[in-house]
Amino acid sequence: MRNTLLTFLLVLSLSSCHYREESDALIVEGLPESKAEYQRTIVGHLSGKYELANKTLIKSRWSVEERAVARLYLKELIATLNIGPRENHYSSPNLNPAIDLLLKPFNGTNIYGILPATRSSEEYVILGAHYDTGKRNAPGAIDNATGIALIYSVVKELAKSEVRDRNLIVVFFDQEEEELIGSKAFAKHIKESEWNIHSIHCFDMVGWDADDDGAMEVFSASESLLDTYRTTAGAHGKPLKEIVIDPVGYDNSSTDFDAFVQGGYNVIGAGECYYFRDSTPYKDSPDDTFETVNFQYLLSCSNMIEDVIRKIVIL
Amino acid sequence: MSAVQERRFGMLVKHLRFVTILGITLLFFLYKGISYAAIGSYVPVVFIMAILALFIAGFYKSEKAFIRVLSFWAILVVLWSFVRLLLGIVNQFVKPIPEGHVHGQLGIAGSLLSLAFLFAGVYLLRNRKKVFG
Repeated sequence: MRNTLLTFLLVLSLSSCHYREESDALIVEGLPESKAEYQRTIVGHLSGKYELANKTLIKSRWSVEERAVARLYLKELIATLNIGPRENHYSSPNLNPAIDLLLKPFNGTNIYGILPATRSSEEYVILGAHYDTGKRNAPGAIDNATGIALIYSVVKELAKSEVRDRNLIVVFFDQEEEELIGSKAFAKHIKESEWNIHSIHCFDMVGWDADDDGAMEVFSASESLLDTYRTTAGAHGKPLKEIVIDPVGYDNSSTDFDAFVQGGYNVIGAGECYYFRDSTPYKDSPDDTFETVNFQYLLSCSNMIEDVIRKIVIL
Repeated sequence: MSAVQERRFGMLVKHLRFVTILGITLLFFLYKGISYAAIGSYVPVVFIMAILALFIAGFYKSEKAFIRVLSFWAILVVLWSFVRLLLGIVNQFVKPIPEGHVHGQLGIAGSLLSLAFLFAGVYLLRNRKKVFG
């Protein structure tokens, strides 16, 4: 029985040990200057194509440990924009209360940063993309390293602007693939922070264009946001496939966008044509690799979104 | 506390190892209940409160009632551990569970915790009658 007790105490001690985040820098050399090149580098880093500075590879962003490394990378990425990275830690119950008896709560961290307006403004525009991957060993190049690379390029360009009339928040959500836990937690964080949100723009999967039409898919209940996207896409000669949703009784839970519809925000989701059936067939699989990303398509979408956000942030 | 209850308490104190193991299992679930209550989920705290209420009621009623509650609790602990171990095996060898959140809790540390609770449950079950024997 003494052995039983000793084992019991040993186990309790072990279970109290937590993963310690590494402190080595992951991006020591600056990212390439050209937009096309740094987008490739970011997607390459996040999907295990390229080694990080400490010689590690982010092969997937699924497990607790993998997501912890990805977070460190994203914090450094935000810092390269001269924006102070912040963490939004959260703890959420399981979806079924009975599971709470068996398992621990969801614990995760959203990474975000604020690019302030150059003139006094109380309004915030949020650009968000999730950083976790859906399945074990899925590199998540398209889903959703491309969304991160898109947002990075938009913010990098807007940071160069001498005038910004609205604050810009860049956020990388944790645990989108686990019932939008991260984005729901961030919606709560917005409320607690009492930010006056102008609009939220969520990007998920922007790297597949098999029919080569360059089309982007958008979904929103906001006619004003749809109109801005429509006009800008027209100017870029880019087809825009629209899905107008009804926010009343909306209970979808498939992408971060959905979490903010439920919160009553002025939100739009955008990406490759998932619902219009021109989307990566490798989603949530080990084949969602760097090689399958259409970087030309990512770049063209990034340029369009940059103009959309420019119109919203610079009045 | 009446003389009978004081005697029961004295018997419990005499079996320190048993009481410690029982206490750890109860405290673990109490901690779980409080943690979940803090984030808005009340099932675990209601569960452990009900168990504690049963223990208190059993203690004040009779030795037989207390042993019955002990048996009930020990079986629950065994079942809890068994389900977690089963999930861990399914996750490792049969069909991997898709969510990283679940996977993270069913690794080595998670399985050792389940195993420790399985031993604790079996120990409580086997030794429950010795306390008041």
